[in-house]
Amino acid sequence: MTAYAKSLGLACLAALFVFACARGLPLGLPLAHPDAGLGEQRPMCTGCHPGADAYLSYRRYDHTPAFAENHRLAVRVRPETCRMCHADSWCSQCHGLDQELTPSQKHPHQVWRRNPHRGNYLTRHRVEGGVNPAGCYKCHGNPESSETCVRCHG
Amino acid sequence: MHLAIPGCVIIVGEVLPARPSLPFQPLAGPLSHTARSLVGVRLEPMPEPLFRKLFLLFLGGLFLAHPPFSAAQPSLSLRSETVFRAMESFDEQGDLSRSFPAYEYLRADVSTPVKGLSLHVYGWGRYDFAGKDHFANNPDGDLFYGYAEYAPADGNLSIRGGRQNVLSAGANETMDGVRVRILPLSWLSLEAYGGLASAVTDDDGADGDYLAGGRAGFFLPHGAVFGFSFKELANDGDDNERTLGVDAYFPLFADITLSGMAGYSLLNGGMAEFLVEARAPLGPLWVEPFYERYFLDNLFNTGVDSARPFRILALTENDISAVGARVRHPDLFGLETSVEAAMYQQEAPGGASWHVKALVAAAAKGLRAGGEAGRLQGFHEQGYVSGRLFAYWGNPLKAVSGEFLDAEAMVVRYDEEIFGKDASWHVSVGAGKFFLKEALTLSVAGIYEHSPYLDQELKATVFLAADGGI
Repeated sequence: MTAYAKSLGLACLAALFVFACARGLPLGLPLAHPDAGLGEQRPMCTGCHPGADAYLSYRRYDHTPAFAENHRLAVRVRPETCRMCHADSWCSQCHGLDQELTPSQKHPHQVWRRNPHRGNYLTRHRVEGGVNPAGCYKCHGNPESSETCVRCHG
Repeated sequence: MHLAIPGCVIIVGEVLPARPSLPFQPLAGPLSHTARSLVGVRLEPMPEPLFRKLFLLFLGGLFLAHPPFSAAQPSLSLRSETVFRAMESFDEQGDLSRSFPAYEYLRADVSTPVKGLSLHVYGWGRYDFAGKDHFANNPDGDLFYGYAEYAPADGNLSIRGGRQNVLSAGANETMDGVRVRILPLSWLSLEAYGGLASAVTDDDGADGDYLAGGRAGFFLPHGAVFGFSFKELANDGDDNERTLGVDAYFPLFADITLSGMAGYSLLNGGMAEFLVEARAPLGPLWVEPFYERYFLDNLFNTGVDSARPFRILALTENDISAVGARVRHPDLFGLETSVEAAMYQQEAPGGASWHVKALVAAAAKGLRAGGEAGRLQGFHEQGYVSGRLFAYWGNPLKAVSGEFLDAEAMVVRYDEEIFGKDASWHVSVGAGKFFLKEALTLSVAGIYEHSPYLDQELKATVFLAADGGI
């Protein structure tokens, strides 16, 4: 690619950027959910919203019992939806680098949360890890987050 | 080109040393170090006049819509979580081990006087009062994130600089760098990020390390989304990962939705992963069939930046498929019920395994209780049956508000003995109280565990959380 084509591409991006800045009108989701007091209950978005509107498919973000284990696709397609209610620290409870305590160890009183590593997971991982190691790799695939693996697996 | 706003530096194109002719200088410290390491997005230098034009255009756009020095009320929000743990365990030989670690998690969110500019920090530290080497192989603390963000109230623009989590498109990384997300049109979202991945090994320092990527998302009518993403990760000059991704979410008809994603490894020239799932109402039920496929040689990193089990599995060129469904009834005689069944197929072990789990839960008048049961049939005749019961009772004493009680019991029985044991137990009971309109939380819990790895383990946890701000 020539320098001219790259320059043109960057100029187009910059133009879009300026256009976005100059609009001043919200084009997407609000930065924060207007009801800040959702509390510790699992929120069901469709309890207040329709299944979908022009902005969002609310049903995809219903916090069903399995949501903690299968929210990957929901986050990937529109992460700003999560950020309306959750600070980044919420994600860091599980995904934070060098996170030593699992959420169930840190908040033992929140027994209703279906965390993947509840109870004595060390023994169960022998079986689950063999069935679907790709499930482990999503969070333990890099050196920092696999420190717990290295102790036994080298 | 260096673009700067207070607290944040964006570098596009050739990475150059700071030039005194620019109106803003890169910040000192980790951010500027990160920026200079952006060799992965190295582009040809643009002509100098075009640089200036683009820079002025960018600043003009910002000034038009969001005067950067317009005043805003500064604020500080703090959350402190302190966890004291006492652990006493006996191994198979009857040897006793004790540790008394205390953890402090601190989060600060600062809204600056500059409208739209905020600072966010979250980290943790640990001190073991037992003073032994129980945690010798672990770090004593870390910074989860620490970044400055410029995000005007309209939500069309977000610029972050510093250590941050990148959880979007094909990325699930912690990065020291810069991320920009813009919504130039109501149907278009653009995101780009670049910097140093915090998780790669640092044998050679930061030389040759970088993480770069981005995503273009298209919002279609009825909440449909379609996105393309790219991610590249290198360590010490070696490419660890270079992936193209596609993700999509489509509402179809009659409340039926379809979503999925796929990742393609450009390094190996093959598919890395593929996931698709649907959601459909079926009378009072919600049914969610799913299909997943993972190609381990393309998905797993085979370099030094990968734990040993993953490196070995990548060499097997094995692939795993999972097909199953979740069925949920939101209100079956007042109970929320959910059943999930999945079948896994692998080439290398030469067989199939399956996992079924069910949940029944109820919530009423401060009481949340439920139970789970599951059966996992693994490979090589490994497997287990599990069960869990839990209960949380808020305000059991009506005269005093804010207190709560909780209890949990979990038992797992294994098909084959592990270290001479065929079961593990986990029992916990706890109590706590909210103070000052839930700004202060205090809870205590006692835990007993019996497992093949540690014969018996007793744990006590005291959790104290405090929210405050000015």
